[in-house]
Amino acid sequence: MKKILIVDDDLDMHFIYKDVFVDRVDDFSLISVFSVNEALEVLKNQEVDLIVLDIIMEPLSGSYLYLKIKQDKSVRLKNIPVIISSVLGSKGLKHFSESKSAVIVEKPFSYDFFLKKVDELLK
Amino acid sequence: MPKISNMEKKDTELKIQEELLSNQDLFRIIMDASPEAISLIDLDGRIVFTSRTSALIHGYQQAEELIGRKVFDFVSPKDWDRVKDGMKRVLKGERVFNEEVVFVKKDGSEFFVEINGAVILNQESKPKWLLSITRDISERKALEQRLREREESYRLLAESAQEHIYVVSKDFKLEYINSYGAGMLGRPQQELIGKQLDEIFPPETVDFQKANVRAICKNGKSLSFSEDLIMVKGNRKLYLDTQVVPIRNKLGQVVSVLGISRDITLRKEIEQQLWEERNAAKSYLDVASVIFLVIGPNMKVKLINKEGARLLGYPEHEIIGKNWFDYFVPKRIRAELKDNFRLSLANSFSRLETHENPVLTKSGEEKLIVWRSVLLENDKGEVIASLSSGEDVTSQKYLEARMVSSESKLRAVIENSPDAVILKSCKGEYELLNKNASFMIAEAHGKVTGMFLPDELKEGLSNLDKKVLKTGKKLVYCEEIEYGDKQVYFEIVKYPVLDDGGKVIFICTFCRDISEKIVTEKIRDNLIRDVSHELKTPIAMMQMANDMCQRGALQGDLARVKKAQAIASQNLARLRQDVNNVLDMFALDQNKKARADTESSVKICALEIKDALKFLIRQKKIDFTISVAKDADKLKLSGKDLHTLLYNLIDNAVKFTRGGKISITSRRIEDFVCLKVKDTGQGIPSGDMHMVFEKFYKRHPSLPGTGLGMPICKEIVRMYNGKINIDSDGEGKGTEVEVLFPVQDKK
Repeated sequence: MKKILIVDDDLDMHFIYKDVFVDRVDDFSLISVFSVNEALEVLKNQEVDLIVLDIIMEPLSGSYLYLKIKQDKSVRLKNIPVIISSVLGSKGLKHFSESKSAVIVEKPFSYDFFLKKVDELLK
Repeated sequence: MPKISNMEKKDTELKIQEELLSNQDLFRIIMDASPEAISLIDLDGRIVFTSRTSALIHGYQQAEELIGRKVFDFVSPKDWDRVKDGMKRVLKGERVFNEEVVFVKKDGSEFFVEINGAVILNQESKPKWLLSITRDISERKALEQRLREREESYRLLAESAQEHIYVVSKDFKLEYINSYGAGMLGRPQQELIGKQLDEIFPPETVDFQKANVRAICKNGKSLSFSEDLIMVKGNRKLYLDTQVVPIRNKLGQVVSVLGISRDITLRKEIEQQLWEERNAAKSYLDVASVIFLVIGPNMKVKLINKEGARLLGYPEHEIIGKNWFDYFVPKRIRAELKDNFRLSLANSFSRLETHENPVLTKSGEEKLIVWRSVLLENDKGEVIASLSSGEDVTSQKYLEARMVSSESKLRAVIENSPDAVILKSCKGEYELLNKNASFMIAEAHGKVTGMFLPDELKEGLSNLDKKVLKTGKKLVYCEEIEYGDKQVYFEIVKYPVLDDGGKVIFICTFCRDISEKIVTEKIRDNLIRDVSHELKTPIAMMQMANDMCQRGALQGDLARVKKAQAIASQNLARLRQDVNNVLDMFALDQNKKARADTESSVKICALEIKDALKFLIRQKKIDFTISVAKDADKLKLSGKDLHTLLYNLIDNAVKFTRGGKISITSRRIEDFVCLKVKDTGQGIPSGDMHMVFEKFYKRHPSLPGTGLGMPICKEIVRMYNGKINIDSDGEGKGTEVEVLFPVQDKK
């Protein structure tokens, strides 16, 4: 079972993510946090397979977490794939570049599209 | 004593002989009185008679001392042969005249005498005695010697003279020429002396020479003249300065001519050169495109060249002699220039002076001339003239003035440019810095060196400078510099300045601080991002909630459907509020008076809003209270305006509060209704307080809302002549917003 860390400050979004994975509860377990600080705490203590990351959050933004992960000295953190999930989409997030281990998914997304991306990254 | 010629002497001697015979005593007296030594010598060579003079010249006292002695005792041994020979000739009947013989005195010293000898015959006509009449010529000899020496010294003098000295006889024979003269003629002295002038000089000069000799011989006067003498040898032309004086014989007749000629060829050649140079100078003066002007101390023009005359528009002769200042200097500066001229004369400023003054031409036009003047002085140091050379710079000045004005225009543009403008040489040295550039450089040096200064403004060549140098093309780029906590952005444009050959000679750098622009752009970008985020988020949520709802319905999962509907309705409310806010703002911006004469109830309005936000209030565990005093319930606001105002205030309070208290109160304070929305939420950092009424200001972009709430509230309050204050004790200490509306009671 893959562990997915979901970082979003919107409570409703957590409901929606839960719903997205409702049919795949045997494949994935979700860890829901509302801020970057909470996410960092989780990453310190647990192994995570995928991070779903909102960008516009306070006090620390998703961008901060993303850079923190990607610039980390340990291979463990650096290699965690990330789905950047934002209403801004790739147009609004010019400073992010997609890579094998990072994709941008614009909200709203269809359940199928989102799950496809998750599968691709965890392949 | 009268001079006695030889013939007379002879007669006298014969008479003496006769007298001797007749009257010996008388004869002796005469003999002794004669200045000449007279002796009679017998055929054996012994003296039989001698006069007292004879004794005296030989150093004896009495004539008798010599009688009977041999003649040869009194003759120097070196002349014995000559005396013997002479005696023989006399005995043969020949006469001996003025033979010079060296005699010996009693003391052995020698001296010169001149002897005249004759024979005295006896009655049988046979030689009986020899008569010798001698005269002491030592003195004459000494004189002759001195003369010879004198002559020698004269000759030496003539010979060593660096002048051509010669003597030409009346009949044109060269009697003497000194070695210098011979050298000048290129022939040996001996070869020339004795020759006719025709043999020495070419015909064209000989006639002149002969004429001179003739003239001197005729009138006996000295002549001085210059002559051109063409040498036979080498065909070289010599110039001589000659003085010719007559040489006279004892009778005062001119027998020859002494000439002294000085070789002035070198001087002549120099004179020739000078003349040529003067000519060249004169023609230069005339041809020169520069004005030459000589003014006398009386201010009158002494000389002006053609160019000067051309410029003034007069012929040269009309200018010369006129007062320069009165005629050719514009009136307005005439007096001043005259004073200056007098002053420089008085002080003898002989150094070169440059000054710029106009002249007045014939047509009344003024021309600007750059003059270089110098005072000419004679050897006594008196100023004799002022020499000036002048150049017409009228058109040059005009161009210069235009250039200066266009340059100063450009300079003003560059100086006042908001950009820092720098011109660097190819070596990277500053050629020009405008005000801003200098300021930035000075600023940078005052701070941490170089920190604030982009590389492009630093002295020396940056990599980009090198690129421009290499390519000769314009470059534009942005440089970001950290300055303390601030980011400073510079837009830098580089242009190569090319020479005629297309080679880069300067690099011009324009450097503009675009930080403000960048910040504004960033704010605008963020604004667009935030607003679009704000508008997109509820839509996205509603769409996904819709998906969720459909899935739940398909699977008959009612809980899932309910959850989805709750998410959707909440986000719908959020979207509606956002859209309303944006629209309100547009409306308020257009200054629409949304006033209504209706009254609205604060309590009802607050309850409605509480109801709309009940999900959030519950979710965030907020203790929400409404307390409205009776006399502070009705407000003269349109229902819509009151709702918008209250909704925004309450919505904000809910947004920033979690698990705390929100209280809405309305009460009467004097002539005002005081409406308060107070929460125990996050509060506002004091630094952000001034921003809360700015449009689109949001504490954080992740927070819901457009950032228009507070500006809208402020605008509504302003419309109803109210006041709005916001207060917070700081971050985490809650916020209190107080709104005051004036009330006019209907009494």
